[in-house]
Amino acid sequence: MTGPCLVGLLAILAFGALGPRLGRRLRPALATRLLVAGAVAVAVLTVVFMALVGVTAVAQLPAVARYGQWSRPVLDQTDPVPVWLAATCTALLALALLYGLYALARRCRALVALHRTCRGMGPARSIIVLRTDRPEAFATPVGRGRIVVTTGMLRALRPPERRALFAHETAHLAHHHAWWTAAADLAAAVNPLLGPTARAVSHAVERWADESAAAALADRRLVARALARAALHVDASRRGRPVPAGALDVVGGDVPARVRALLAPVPRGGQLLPVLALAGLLAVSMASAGTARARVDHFLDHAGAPSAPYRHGGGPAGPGTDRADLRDSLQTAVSDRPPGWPVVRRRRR
Amino acid sequence: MDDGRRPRGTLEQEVVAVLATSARPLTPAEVRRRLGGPLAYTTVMTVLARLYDKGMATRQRSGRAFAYRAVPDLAEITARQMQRLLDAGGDRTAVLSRFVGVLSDDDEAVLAGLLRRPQPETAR
Repeated sequence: MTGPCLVGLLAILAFGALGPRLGRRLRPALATRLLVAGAVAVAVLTVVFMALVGVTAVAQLPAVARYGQWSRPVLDQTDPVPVWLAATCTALLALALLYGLYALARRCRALVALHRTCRGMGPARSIIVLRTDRPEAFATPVGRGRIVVTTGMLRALRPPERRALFAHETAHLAHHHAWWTAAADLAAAVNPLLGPTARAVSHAVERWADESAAAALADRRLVARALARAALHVDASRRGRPVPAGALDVVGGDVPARVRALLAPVPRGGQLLPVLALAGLLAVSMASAGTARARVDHFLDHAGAPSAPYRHGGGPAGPGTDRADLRDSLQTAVSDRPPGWPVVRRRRR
Repeated sequence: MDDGRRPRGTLEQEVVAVLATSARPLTPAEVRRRLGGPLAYTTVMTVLARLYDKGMATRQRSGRAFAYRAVPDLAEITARQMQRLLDAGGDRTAVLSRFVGVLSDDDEAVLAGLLRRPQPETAR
């Protein structure tokens, strides 16, 4: 039990640490899909591991044991995880799920608010020009999506650069980028170790939109110039106004890195290795979750073994035949345990 | 000055941008000049007519042609709502796909340098 859990934990830690770094070496569209899929899988696996460890403690609660018809003394004797650790996992699991739900509710509320604001703003899939000097441009994901741009931003850009801006925002809408980042952010809410991965996804979707604008216009430099000019203009107009809290780490960030990537030649090659590495980490953590699950199943089956003394008596081991039955069922259930493994001895970790 | 490729669908957006940033109504010829590039007059005219049909532009007679203007305004309230949306931070801004985010002081210097840098003709 401890073995597969440790392996799974290490694989999850490795994904959290390596994911963003490997993602940077992939093409942005591939990086987005792979990192989001990985982040969601890791978030689910985190919940699975904590639930598996937690259940070894929860099953020992008198009411739960009675409901599952498990023998508490047997559970106590064969418990594969220290109770304090299992209890901690249960508490963390509850926190993770609650925080995940809270993050989901907050994101939904933001979408509803955005929907209300955009409802009156002209037809969907059109651009909406707001008459204000404040330079801003963004795409809204709700409805069929709208591109909002202010006259302040339009005046800052030359006509070909405006085309780059529109192509960039159109790509965000066409590829549903808001949903990819939402999935990554929710995964990070469940498992905070995925925070860097979620930020890498935000960056990857911006790069994706940049590259798709560059491909549509057949001009990488033009997109780079549009980005740099827009960012400098936004910055100049913001002087003297307070930067909204949390604005730095949300969207459109890291403009210099995006500009530099556009000015560099198109990245080539070396896609297979990072993909294999990330897939490998996910496979390892999934396999160890499977093993851990089998161990927990066995642990509970054992305590609920159909030999009467164990189920209801709760006393010491019954007659020898029961014990032999038990050992047989044990050996068939868990193949990696040596034959004759004593049932009632507490395992050393 | 501009002979870059134009992806499908962005022409209409560009025309809206030209109309919105102009102080007075524009004829198709003027729109075409401001857009730059090898665009056919009829193409621009078609786009303008479509915008008028969609209710995204108004028009008035100007000599032999129509002069077009972006829909007067999407109400001042919308700009204020947008401001609130953008200044809220957190999830309110996370759901928007913003073109550019906030820069640090270092970023500013880097970008200004990149814009000033002469453009080499061949890729490295």
